[in-house]
Amino acid sequence: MRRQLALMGLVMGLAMGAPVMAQDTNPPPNCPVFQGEADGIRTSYYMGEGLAYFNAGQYNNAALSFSCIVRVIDDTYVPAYMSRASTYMRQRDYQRAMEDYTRAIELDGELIAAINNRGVVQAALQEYEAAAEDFDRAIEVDPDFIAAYNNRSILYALAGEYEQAITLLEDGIARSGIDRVLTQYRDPNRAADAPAIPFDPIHANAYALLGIMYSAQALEQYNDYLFLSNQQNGFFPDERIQSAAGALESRFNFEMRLDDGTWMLVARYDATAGQ
Amino acid sequence: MSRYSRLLLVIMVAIVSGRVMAQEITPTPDPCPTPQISNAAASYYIGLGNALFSRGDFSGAVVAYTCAIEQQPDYAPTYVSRGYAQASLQDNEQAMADYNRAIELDELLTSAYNNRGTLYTRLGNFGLAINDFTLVISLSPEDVTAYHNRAVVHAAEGNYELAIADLEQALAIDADFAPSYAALGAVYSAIAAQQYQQFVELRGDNALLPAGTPIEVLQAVDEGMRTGDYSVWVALQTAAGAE
Repeated sequence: MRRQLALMGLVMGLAMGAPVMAQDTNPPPNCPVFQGEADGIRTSYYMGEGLAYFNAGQYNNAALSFSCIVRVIDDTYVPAYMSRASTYMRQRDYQRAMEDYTRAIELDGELIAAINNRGVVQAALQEYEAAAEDFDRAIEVDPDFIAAYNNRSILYALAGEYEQAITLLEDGIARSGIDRVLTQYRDPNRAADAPAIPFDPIHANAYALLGIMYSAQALEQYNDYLFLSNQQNGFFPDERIQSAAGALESRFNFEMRLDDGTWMLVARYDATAGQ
Repeated sequence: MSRYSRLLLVIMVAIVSGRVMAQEITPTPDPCPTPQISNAAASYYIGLGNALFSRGDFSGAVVAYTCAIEQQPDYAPTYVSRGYAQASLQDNEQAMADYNRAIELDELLTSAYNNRGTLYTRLGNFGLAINDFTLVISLSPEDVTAYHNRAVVHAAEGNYELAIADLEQALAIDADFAPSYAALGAVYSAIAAQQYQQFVELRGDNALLPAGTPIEVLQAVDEGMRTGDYSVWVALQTAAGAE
């Protein structure tokens, strides 16, 4: 199967600590349309129906349509698992999403969208070690899959391993070639009317993450300085550093926090590329 | 035709034709969206269309069904689906063309006759509507929708006894078919309107109804069924020699 991945430039709004749903033990759904027809016809119908519901934000209906495929028509049809997993992610039902990505990986061990996205789901469930394994595996399967570098770097940062995060992000930047794009744009001899240089915004995202990593490192240094100041009488810390540390602390507690999933990149699965 | 009768006719046609959304412009078909799966059959677009229809996006549904028809032009049910979406957009002409095409492709397709019958009803062609519903009943004697729809046409024509017979038959087939209860209520309302009209003709336009206006009576009867208060019926009694 060919794998063409288009990355969603959007970040996910994953809420940590979302309720974990029990495994689906419901009876199979009622799927009467095109009953008796070939599986391909029925599968096409429910994929079309499910995707239309999904695009309209009717996630319960979408999940039912995809369930018709995997529970009634063809339990090996990967696009239905991938689509249903996306649906569950929108519903923040991470447990079910993980189960569907796992099933997709069982059916196609090198399906990078499933591997990466399962990592994102594992991170949402705070299963950071398992998530790291998935991102590592994604990079192993496709070293040019830059989203996994970004996602893995976030996990390094959450573990306080900023050096590893920075190294990985720089590796991703070099591999994606976004650094060369930047150099070309910054070339003082570049003509004002020179044609735009196309690049993937996901690749540029690595610079944002690098900035975050360095900021997090800076906060560590500030905190070391402030910690020392508390150990000795008469050592009054510089107020500017106190202020800078406070501002960074606040940002990492709120809009810049790394553990809410908003920096994770979800891969969009392109079901037209294979099957 | 009295005011009550005209009102009832409007209600009947609304019931038989389903809920109709106001749309003035028939959409120009957009290019077919590229399927998001490989080897997509025409049924992909039918699924897309059904989902769009279910959320009231009739224009989008027409486009999706058209894509399915382009891929599989001899599959009659898609014309029925598109016809219904067209009818929901008030495009009666296109809807009729689609139903007719479906019947050309499959002369036993009861859904095409059923929907064409509802369209004929909307257009006031009651005879043709009854023909279509009767044909469905002959092809599929347990088709509750056909009995129901034919009943509504009978009612629209003022043939309330025939309407009641068809509605009772529909409910005999499927006691849970809720629309027939609503239609039955409407038919009895029509009969009520006839009787009130008769009262007015005998007593004159300014005569007071003994138990209040028809709406007041209906409310009182409804409340009486829940509370046991039968005073509305008492009000309808007449002393000997009063007439």
